[in-house]
Amino acid sequence: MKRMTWITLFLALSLVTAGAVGAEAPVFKIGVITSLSGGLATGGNVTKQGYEMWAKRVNDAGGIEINGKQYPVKLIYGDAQSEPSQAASAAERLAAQEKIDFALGPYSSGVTLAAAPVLEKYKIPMVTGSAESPLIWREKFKFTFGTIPPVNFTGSSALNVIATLDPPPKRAVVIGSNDAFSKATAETFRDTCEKLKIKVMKYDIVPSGQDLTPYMSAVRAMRPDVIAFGGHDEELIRLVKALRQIHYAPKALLMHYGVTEPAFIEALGKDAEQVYGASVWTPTLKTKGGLIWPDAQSYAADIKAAFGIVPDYTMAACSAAGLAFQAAVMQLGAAPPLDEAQKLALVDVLEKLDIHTFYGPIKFSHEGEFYHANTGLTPLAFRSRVARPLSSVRPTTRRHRRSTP
Amino acid sequence: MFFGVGAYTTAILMKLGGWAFILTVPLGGLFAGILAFFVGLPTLRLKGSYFAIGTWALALALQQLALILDITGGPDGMRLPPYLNPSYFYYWMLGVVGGTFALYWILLEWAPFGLKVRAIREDQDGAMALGINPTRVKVQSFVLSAVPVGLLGSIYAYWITFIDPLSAFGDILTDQAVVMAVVGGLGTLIGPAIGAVIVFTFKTLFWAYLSDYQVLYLIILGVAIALTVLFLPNGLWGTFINYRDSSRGMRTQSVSRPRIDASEHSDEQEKGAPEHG
Amino acid sequence: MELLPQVILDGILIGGIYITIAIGFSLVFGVMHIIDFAVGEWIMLGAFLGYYLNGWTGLDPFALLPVVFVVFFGIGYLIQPAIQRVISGHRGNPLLMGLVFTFGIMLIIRGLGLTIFGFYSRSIPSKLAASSWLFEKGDFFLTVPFVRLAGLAFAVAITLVLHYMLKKTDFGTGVRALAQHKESAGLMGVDSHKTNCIIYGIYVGISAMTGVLVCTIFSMTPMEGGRYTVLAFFVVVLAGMGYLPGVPWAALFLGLIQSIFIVYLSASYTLLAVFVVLYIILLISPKGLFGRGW
Repeated sequence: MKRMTWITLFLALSLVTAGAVGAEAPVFKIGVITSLSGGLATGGNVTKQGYEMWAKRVNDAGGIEINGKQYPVKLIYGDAQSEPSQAASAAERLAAQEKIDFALGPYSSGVTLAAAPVLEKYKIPMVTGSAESPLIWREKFKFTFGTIPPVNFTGSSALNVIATLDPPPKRAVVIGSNDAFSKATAETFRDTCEKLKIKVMKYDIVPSGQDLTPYMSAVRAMRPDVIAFGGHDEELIRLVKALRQIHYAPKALLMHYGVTEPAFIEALGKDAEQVYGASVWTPTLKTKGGLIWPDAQSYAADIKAAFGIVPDYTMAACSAAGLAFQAAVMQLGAAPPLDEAQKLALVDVLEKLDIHTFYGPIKFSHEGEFYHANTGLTPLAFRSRVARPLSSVRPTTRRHRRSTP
Repeated sequence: MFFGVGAYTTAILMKLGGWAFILTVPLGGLFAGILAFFVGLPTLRLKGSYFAIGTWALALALQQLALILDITGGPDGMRLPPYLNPSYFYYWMLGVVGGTFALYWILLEWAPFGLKVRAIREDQDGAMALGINPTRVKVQSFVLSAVPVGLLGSIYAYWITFIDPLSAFGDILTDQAVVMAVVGGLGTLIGPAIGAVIVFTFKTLFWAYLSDYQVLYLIILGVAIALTVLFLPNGLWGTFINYRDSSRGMRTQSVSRPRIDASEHSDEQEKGAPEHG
Repeated sequence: MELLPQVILDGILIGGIYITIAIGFSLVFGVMHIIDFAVGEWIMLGAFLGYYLNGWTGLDPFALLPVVFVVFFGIGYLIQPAIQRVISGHRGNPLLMGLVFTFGIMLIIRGLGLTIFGFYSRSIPSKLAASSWLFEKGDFFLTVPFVRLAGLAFAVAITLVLHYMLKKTDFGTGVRALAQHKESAGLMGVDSHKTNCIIYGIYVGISAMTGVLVCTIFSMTPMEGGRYTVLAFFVVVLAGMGYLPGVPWAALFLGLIQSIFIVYLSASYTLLAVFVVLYIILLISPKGLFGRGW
């Protein structure tokens, strides 16, 4: 069956070469490669809303101002369908046929890893608002930037807070779901525990979608102080429910993703209370932005008005990715369409970018394992339900050097 | 399943063994074939749905294995050095696909092998009475269908430069193949190809112009499948063939007709009734 | 070893959920020979109806089950004729046609679900979900989560009701006759059209109730139906296609394997073990655990 798909994929590829570019008023053509269908559609949709919000506000204001003239932006979508192969062909189509000036990146690392080399080839800069896996930055793509720091940069912050609880926790169980992001999170949790002298009694990577109740019954017998779990939102919801069903409340339950996400809190109601997590942004964060949104609250209000939801940090990071492009292209002063030299120059500007937005500072690292990830941000530890920062883990300033490990 | 085996063969050999891509492709096909042989021997005894579920379970097991092992990179997948030249891969694919089509054509239409296959499909007992060993022919066909898929998996790995257990052993392609088979008519060589072109074109155009209505895509596809099955049970291509034949008033057997008819005498219908408790 | 009772109990409770997922699916296959790819989607729809009903009325999800059943029985009853059309008449391979048709239905439901319900996870709150029995004596302990126990009780109840219906009522006799030989059943005065519609309605209703259960115990997103379709397939194949009495045992078996593996062997290998065991059982006994499948 697969055979036939591939045969014809190619036949069709050669057929579908429609794409006449009309002579319209110059706009910034921005390709959005993300998963709008398939298993990652939930996350993909969050990124889409974030990018859309940014584009809408830019165009409402008439466009991006370059040398006194305003140029609107046009988002052109390429669906990655949650498949690396589709991401690559979407990137290919956007670059070769749509001749995009710039790209906004996908959700999930697999898809990003497939799209990035194609954009390298066409020398199209990409800023992604949602790539938390350390894998991407280890590849050192010259044209790829990310507004969310990878999980090995942020993941330890919540544990640092938990370590200061009284009495200090001594024993932990670390579990990760078996996907790239969750596994990296679990590894970070495990390593941080060891650093903080919290004994890791059990460390397991479990297949995703597993019913963890039997496992938790066994964990309960070991009586750990901390349970740290790397996984995606619905797995977290299930874990919390499982713990509640067996009536077991560890001193601290630690999760990285989704703790501040409204869906998580809504789904769990009171159960969410004991959960700790790390995040880089919440709607209540005190930030000061120059472009479009003056602070986090005004952004959250905008999103609420447009989509009727409270934005999470991924959505905010995606809008911030748009802002990063906007700021860079304004600094560069290049009007669309960008030629190759201008795109290269844009990468240089992005590398040197140091701006403050509603999302927080954006400053991309130049080297090391966080190459081109935004390390200007301060990770925050959260206790969910109230969804407000417990304490910032590190002093807000002078953390930019963190990028060299 | 064989797709993933091919893809991982290339990825592992290139990344860990430092092999040249060209050398890994035949090995991808070879391993797929060997796996097909060893899997086919026991599994092909299963009938109908059991065979489908059996191979499905095995594919999922392989996917889990790729997720767990270190050599496959686990859930992180494997990244290969990019070689970004689509036309290079286009020719590779064209070569494999063309070769496969030609080989199948010769084997199924000209060689005695095709007759044996058809004999078993239409009447297994009868075929056995004629001295055909059905298991042997089935395993041969299974291996034959696995090898090109393994080859394409190998090429895919290097083309996309990134594979992980979900993309290599995932079932999205299979879903699409169902669609293609139906739109194009089952049991024909050319029908699925037409179905695939239609679906792929629709998909590409849809995402290019209607991406704001993303979810609509599922609904349109679903409605299209349901309507086709309801009103054009032979698929678009099969219906076209039938229409052409009847409008010409021909009663000759076209290439695809006997196959569609033959599937009516499938194993399932002849078996006993199920029991109920 | 002090964990063993807990492990077995957890396995049985998981198995209980699997029973409800698979039993309607097995019934409909046994009677109509349809492999319904949309089974997970009915579960998903049921879950969301339960979620919204719970939001509006504030009633406990277990109290909502009859309402959900009635609604989805109606839906199933109404769409059965379309499926019947696909699998009858002079068509190639009806089994495959049914499979592909329901695949289309699945896509439609999933698309509609995503449009209407959005992408996020939902979960139904229940008073039962917060309580459990706890026995503890030295190292030995046993926790029995109420909500899962209720799930198991529901599964057992459904199984017994179906058993009674098929074995003890005239309707059931008609259904069995139909399953065994359609034409003769017709001659004996069984209204096959109506019977099929009712059976399909029962199946859709059971699946939707399962959705409410799953959404109470776990959570549900509109994307998630496929996971339950896979589970239903596996349980039914293990039981033997269409062999209804095998379903509870196959479901419990799968639940126990999972529970035992995740605790005693490596947690990473749980699903691998499940798939391999399934495959090996099929090889040893090609018609399911009991060799009684279709």
